[in-house]
Amino acid sequence: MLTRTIYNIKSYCRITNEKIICDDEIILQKGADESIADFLKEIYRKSEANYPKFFKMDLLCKSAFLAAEFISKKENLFETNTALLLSNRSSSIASDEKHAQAIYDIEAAASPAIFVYTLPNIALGEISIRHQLFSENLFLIFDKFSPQTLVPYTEQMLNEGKAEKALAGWVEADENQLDIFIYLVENEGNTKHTIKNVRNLYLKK
Amino acid sequence: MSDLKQELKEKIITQLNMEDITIEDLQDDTPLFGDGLGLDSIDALELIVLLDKQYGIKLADPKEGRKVFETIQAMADYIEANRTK
Repeated sequence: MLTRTIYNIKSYCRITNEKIICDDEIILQKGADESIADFLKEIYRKSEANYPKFFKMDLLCKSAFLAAEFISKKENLFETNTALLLSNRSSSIASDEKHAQAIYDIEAAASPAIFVYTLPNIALGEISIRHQLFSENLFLIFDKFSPQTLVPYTEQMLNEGKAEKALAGWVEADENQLDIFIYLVENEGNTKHTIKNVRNLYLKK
Repeated sequence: MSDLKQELKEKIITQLNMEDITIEDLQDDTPLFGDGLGLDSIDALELIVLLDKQYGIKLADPKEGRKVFETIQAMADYIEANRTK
């Protein structure tokens, strides 16, 4: 008889224009006049990550990095077989635009530090480097947050034994908006890994 | 020369987004790569662009770069000798 493995959401982190919440706990709230960049810097300080490379990242990578960082404070990710499956709508458009401005400037000079972030999957790389993950990873582009794709895809990866756990989610970030939701899927946990539960956590205020 | 070194320190900290580093942390003889400031390959490319854009120096030989970017002092010496603007 075939048995279906039940997976659970062990931990999650949500970062919006208002606050950062991890597992229902508000970690920080954004000041009314605070910029997105400053808010992320404040979250970084709160994380006590001590990782100077953070300052070199673009906003997309910074926010994905921070969400994973807070999850890793609760659940060990370091050197684990944790797959990464992130998604967003705008790819790396903020860095793409900065790069375009640099190369079409009157004194055109591409900045390698900007150019290196002109792919969204660099966010996966930054998380992998930080936690020493040599695992499966994939970055998908959707019109909107799509748990109906993320959930079965994540389970397929886990069922095929490609990873023991998975960090999945949605990472949309630029100077005007933060819409970050990353969650950890594994065998243990109190919230079943279903499309409905993933959507509800994402929509939770 | 000391003005140039000061200027270089400011530009490196800004250009390379080194928000945790102050000018005082950056000594003239601090190694920029390895155990010193810990710059990486992308930073090296940024420094090459900086030399070109700010001082009109085109660095084509990677072997040369290794010496030029050893320390702030080495960079300043090289710029003094080769700058075109």
